[in-house]
Amino acid sequence: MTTLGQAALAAVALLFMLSAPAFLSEHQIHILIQILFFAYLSSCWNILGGFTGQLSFGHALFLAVGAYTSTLLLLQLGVSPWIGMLAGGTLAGALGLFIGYLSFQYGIKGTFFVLVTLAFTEIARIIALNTSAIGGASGLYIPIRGNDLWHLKFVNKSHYYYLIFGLLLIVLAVTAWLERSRTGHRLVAIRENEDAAEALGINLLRYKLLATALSAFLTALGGTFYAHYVTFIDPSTLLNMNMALEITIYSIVGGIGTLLGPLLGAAVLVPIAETVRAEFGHNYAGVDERGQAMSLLDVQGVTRSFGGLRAVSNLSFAVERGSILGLIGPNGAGKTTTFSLISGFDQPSAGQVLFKGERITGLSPDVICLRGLTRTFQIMQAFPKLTVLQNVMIGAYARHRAVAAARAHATEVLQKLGMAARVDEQARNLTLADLKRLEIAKALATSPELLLLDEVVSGLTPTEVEELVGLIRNIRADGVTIVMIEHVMQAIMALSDTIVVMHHGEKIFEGQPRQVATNPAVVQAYLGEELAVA
Amino acid sequence: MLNVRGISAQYGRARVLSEVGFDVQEGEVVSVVGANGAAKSTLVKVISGMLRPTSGHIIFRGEDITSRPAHEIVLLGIAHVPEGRRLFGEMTVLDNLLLGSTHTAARMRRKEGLERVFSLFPILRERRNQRASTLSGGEQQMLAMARGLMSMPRLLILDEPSLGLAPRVVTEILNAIQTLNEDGLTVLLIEQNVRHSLVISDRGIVLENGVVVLVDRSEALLSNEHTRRAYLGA
Amino acid sequence: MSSALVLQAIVSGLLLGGVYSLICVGLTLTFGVMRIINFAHGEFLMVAMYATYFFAVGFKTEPYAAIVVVLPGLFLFGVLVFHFLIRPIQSRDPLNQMLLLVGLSLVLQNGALALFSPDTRAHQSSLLYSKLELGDVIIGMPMLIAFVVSILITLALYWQLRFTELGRMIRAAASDRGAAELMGINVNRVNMLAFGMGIGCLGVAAPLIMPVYYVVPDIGTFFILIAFVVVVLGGLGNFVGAMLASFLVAIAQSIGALFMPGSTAPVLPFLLFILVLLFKPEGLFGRPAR
Repeated sequence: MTTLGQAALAAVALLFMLSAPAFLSEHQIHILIQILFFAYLSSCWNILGGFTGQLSFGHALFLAVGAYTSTLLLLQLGVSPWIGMLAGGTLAGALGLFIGYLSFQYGIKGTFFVLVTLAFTEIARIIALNTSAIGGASGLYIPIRGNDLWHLKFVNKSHYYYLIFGLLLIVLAVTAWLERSRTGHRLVAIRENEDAAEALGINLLRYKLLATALSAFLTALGGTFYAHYVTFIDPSTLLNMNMALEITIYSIVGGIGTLLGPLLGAAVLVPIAETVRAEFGHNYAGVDERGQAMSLLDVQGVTRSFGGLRAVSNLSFAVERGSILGLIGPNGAGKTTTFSLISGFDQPSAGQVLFKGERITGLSPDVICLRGLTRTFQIMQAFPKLTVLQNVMIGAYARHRAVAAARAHATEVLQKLGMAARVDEQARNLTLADLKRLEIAKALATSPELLLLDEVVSGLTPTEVEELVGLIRNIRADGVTIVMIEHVMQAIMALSDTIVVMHHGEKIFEGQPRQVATNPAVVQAYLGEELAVA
Repeated sequence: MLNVRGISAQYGRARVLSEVGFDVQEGEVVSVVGANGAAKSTLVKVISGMLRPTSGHIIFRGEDITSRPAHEIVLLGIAHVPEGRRLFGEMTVLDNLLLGSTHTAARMRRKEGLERVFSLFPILRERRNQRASTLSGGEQQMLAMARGLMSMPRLLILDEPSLGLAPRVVTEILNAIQTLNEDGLTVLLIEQNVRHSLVISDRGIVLENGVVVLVDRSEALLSNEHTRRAYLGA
Repeated sequence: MSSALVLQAIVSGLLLGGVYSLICVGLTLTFGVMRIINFAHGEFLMVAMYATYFFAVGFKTEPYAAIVVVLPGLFLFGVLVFHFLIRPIQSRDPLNQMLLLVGLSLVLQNGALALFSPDTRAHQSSLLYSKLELGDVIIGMPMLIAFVVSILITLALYWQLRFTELGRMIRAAASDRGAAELMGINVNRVNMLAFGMGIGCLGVAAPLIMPVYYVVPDIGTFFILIAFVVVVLGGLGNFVGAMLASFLVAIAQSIGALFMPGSTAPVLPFLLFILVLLFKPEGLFGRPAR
């Protein structure tokens, strides 16, 4: 194809890409963004892997550095992600120089270089998981909403699309330059025959480090993009081996060391990977449409058997963000067991629970709490000799390291629950109503996204129930999603958006409060005739 | 015993052998001589099955072995001691020898085989538990030949056995070849060192640029004008 | 820090080392000896574990009984994978080989995900809670069994490779393919057997570790990196070295867990790995390359 033909084709492609968002759905744009994202990452990788011939499987590390740097700068210091992006890139470049220097200076090549980069990534992952300052296992969540250009937050996906497209054009320009420049030619020489290259005056170390730093810097920019698109980052997604592999595969399959190779690879393979992911769940690398269309809590086919007895049987329901779900049923229906299964105090015999799109089955309660899901107990589990404030501070410590910060937050929570007057009383001296509120306060102090309330109004007088219902509504208004087990119809009917009815461990009905009250099966199993009329 | 007929071979698009043909009778020592790049090694690789020819046939004791894989050809009685020896350096001398006799027929005659090679090359018995890479150049060549002998071949192909060896050692090797031939082994010898190889051979084949240019009895070749000028520095 | 605690950590580490050793003895053969960069090693283990699970649940037996089926099954699986996937591209760039195996690992993982769902499964062995108590130190029975078998298997493979006919042929084929062919060795067949053996080892490992690990589609990814680390630390191709490296790595992790913050102890094997590669690239127990 002639140069003119090539240019024409490129122009048409460019035009197409620029106008694509206009006639595609949000979901389709999301797929395109994924393709461009991986094409971008692969192209960055290509600079080191393709051109210079040093196969790194550690680029997930640079991605993570970019993501975490800009996110932390934003969350802790309010720094704009545009600046954070550059900071992240610089940091990643430095890290790349470090790893590169160690490897190249000590002659670590080929398979061993692959393994060393994987080792660094794994070390980073373990450290990240254990460093609560950067979110630990529960990761970091960027809570900005609405359009905010300075803070890199857009409502329309198309804006993200243009951003990643812009980044892709940048890396393509860099690659094109490499193809034509002395630097790039020297890198290729190194790839082909190091000894020969050295003999012709090429300083191997310097050029390899240059390629590494450049590749790392650019990859980190992609990491910042990822963080602010998905608005949630954690070590298990960014630093898992599959992410590391994905970045390299698209380049290798599409054509290593070429300009368009990574693009082709990504364009073909990403949609395939995406389909697989959509079908089979997402334990593997990828960019999820988090927080957007997905349910906050997804209970899937959960069963709990004790020997021959099934306490919970094939239970499935989903809870949308910002809603209140009521869980009702006769005693022994399996409601509290369900709460235990969701919150990690018990393991299901089958099925799984997804929270924010991630599998939490098998995790311990404290880890689940740190991820944003907290429960209260039916039989109240206060710390009897501690004061009310101290009790709640224990909850606050989940999110606040400093004692003063925890105290402040705990006080705030207690005020919201109308217990400001009793902060210094010992828990064992409280009335029932106050104990119930304390239970809620403790849980609320952990700043949960999802709160499991287990019979928080039972045993209260109607007036007290009324008060608590109002408080719970306020909690929901603050953005907390709630699942509540209750026998008191007054509360359930008033609060729930959706109700799930359980009987003998199974879900026998799910629907809106009005529907529940009139459903014959529910009436027969649980409500009885009198309540049905109300 | 061995009939090479119209063998042509190429590497990529470069034709390296063109219509090569000759015979080796049982009990003979035949040399293939020629300069570097004459494709001598390519020729023997075709014979031993390491390379596929583009056309032609190799017939060994009446059987067409052209498209047989290398490991089967060994079973039929051809042992190829490759250029550069290609010993299993990290393994012991003894292991290398045992590996030479992995196919069943040879395995049963291992003891006999070991005795033969140890009496031919006593130094190998001495060094039998040493790693092959620790041996001197000459000893390595002896080991390579011994390894080939362990498969109880009828035809032994030696590719550049004197490469990189001191003259004294070369003489030892050549003597060994003669002894083996006197005991009835047929030998096909590839050598750059034309004089040495023709001295112990019955016949010689001169290969130039992948084409056979001369086939004759060794004495005749030694006195031939062309070979003298080209290879013997007359 | 009581000495009993440290002692327990050492013993637990040793036992965990046995588990690691079991899992990577096969990799020592396929990667250490044959130099096949088998990134799918973990997924073969995963397949073996699912096979063990279904066998044990289906026939209502101890997981250990599954060895009779899973060992030959995995051997066969390895042979087939080698014959159809690896052999055709053996002559090309090792990069292609690695990529192919990475692809295989992804296919197996996703296949398992599709067939078996992401649920964890566990099959209780009746031995799960039985233990040995030596003074203050508690030794779980399943771990002890795994430990003992790992030593046996390592020694068996070492002996096999070093002293038997087949072992010699495997080493020769790995050392110089062409020369091995000239010995009359059917290199393709030998390689196929060797690879099958390496994968077959996982057929022994899976039933043994079944009592102590959940079965999930991504269980392979837990072990794959450690396995490579151990094989390299032990000196490529050195069975006993890999076994010792397993113990070393696991004990380091176990003792490290006593002192290190959070659960950061698992970084130790990787740190050790990087350091060894920098300063002693032939591995802790390997011979220096000439």
